[in-house]
Amino acid sequence: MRNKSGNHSDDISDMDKTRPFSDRDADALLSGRAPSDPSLMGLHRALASIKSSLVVEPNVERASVFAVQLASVAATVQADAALAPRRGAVASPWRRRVAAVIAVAAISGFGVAGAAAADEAAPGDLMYGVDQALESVGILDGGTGERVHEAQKLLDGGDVAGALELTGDALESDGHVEAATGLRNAALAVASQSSGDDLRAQVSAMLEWMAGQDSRDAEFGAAVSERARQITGNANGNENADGHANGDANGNANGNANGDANGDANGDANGDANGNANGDANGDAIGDANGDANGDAIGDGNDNAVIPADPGSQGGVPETRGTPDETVGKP
Amino acid sequence: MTLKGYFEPTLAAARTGAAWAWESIYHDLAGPVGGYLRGHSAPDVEDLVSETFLSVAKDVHRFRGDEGDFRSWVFTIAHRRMQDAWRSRGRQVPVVDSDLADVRAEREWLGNVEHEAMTSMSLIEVHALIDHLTADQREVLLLRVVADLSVADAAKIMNTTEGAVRALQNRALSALRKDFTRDA
Repeated sequence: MRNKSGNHSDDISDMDKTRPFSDRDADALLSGRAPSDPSLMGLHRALASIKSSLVVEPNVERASVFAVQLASVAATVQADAALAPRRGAVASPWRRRVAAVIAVAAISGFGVAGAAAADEAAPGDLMYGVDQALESVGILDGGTGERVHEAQKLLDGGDVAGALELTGDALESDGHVEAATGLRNAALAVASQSSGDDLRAQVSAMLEWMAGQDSRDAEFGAAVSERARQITGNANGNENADGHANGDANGNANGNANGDANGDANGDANGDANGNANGDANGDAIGDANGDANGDAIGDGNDNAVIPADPGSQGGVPETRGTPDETVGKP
Repeated sequence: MTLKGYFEPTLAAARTGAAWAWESIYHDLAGPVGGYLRGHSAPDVEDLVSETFLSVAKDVHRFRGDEGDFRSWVFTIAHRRMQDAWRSRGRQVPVVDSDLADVRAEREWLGNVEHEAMTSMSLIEVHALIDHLTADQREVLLLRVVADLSVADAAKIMNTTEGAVRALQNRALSALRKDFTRDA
């Protein structure tokens, strides 16, 4: 502030510097892109430097501790918010009457087409409140079929966990308590991990199947429970997908390289794989094959090694031949 | 803006209280929020960042919008928390070229050697540049550069028009350029 007057007088004495850039360059500078005017590169670097000096990346350990605290705050508030209106709705017959009045007003106000539009609404839409009000006085079908339909819409919007919870609510009101609990567990499992496309397809398939069922008997409930269990399993499985993938990849790669690489590389893959297979497989085969893969290495290596008189396979092939031969002698 | 396609599911999970979601939100935004507050020479930056995120967690179930809206909302909260902090302790903006400078040097410069080594400009140099701006110019600069917000979002937070924000950012850049070339 104390510099405002100072800058101002400078501005007047130095007019070419008051508007030295176009709006495009100003936007580029402010959003961190290089300006088109090369004389502004110094300012561009200065801004980048200001940003990197001010922004300090958060400490990872502290961030995860704090994240747990934030999560519990959010969960507590969420639970309170979810409970408050529901308790009110149950306790007060007044609310039902208000809902009925709203519903009548809604029907007379925007007619059958409007009611149909409300019927199409999914949770989170403006019309959803109207939809539920109409259902509560029996004007629209508020049964499981309708909830499943709404859940499909949530799913289209990417809210897998929300879709599962909504379906769970509907099933519970139909008396399928076990199936409802299963779906809620699935929703929790889905909510606790981030990759969603496979799960979404799975949930979508389940909702479609539910929508196509006419009867809602015990068999129906059991089928839903089973699918919910599968979704829960997959959601939890996905979380560890990376870990397993690494483990398996290492395990198999070694196994195959030692056992098969000798046989296959020599026999089938003369043209392409010799370079690699010989280079790599030799390294491993010599070290490991001795210990682990004696049986296979001897058989395949020797048999095939004779066949490829292919000129492409010279490099290290003799060595692979040598190794299994040596191992033959050992036992 | 780094969560992109993952933002919706992350936000949904954050609402239900998933710690991983909060970790990625915090990781994405804590740096810029701290930078914004630091640029304003706000008191107790770390505390204010924590307060900001606690407010976000408390009100996230009421938030509606996309990732850009969310970012803008978080900075609105940070802005208010900072104003509250100043109000509660009486506004005292530290001045670089007074005797406070060596106190700041001890706290911010020597106290964060690792970070300083990574950046080409010390916090003192940064403040020497941006403290010359008017309060409004500095606000626009920090919201646009450090917080990565659009002109429209900055206008909303500053409670002014987009035209005014554009005028302010042009003046801020002009002033900075002049100071920068003179210092260099």
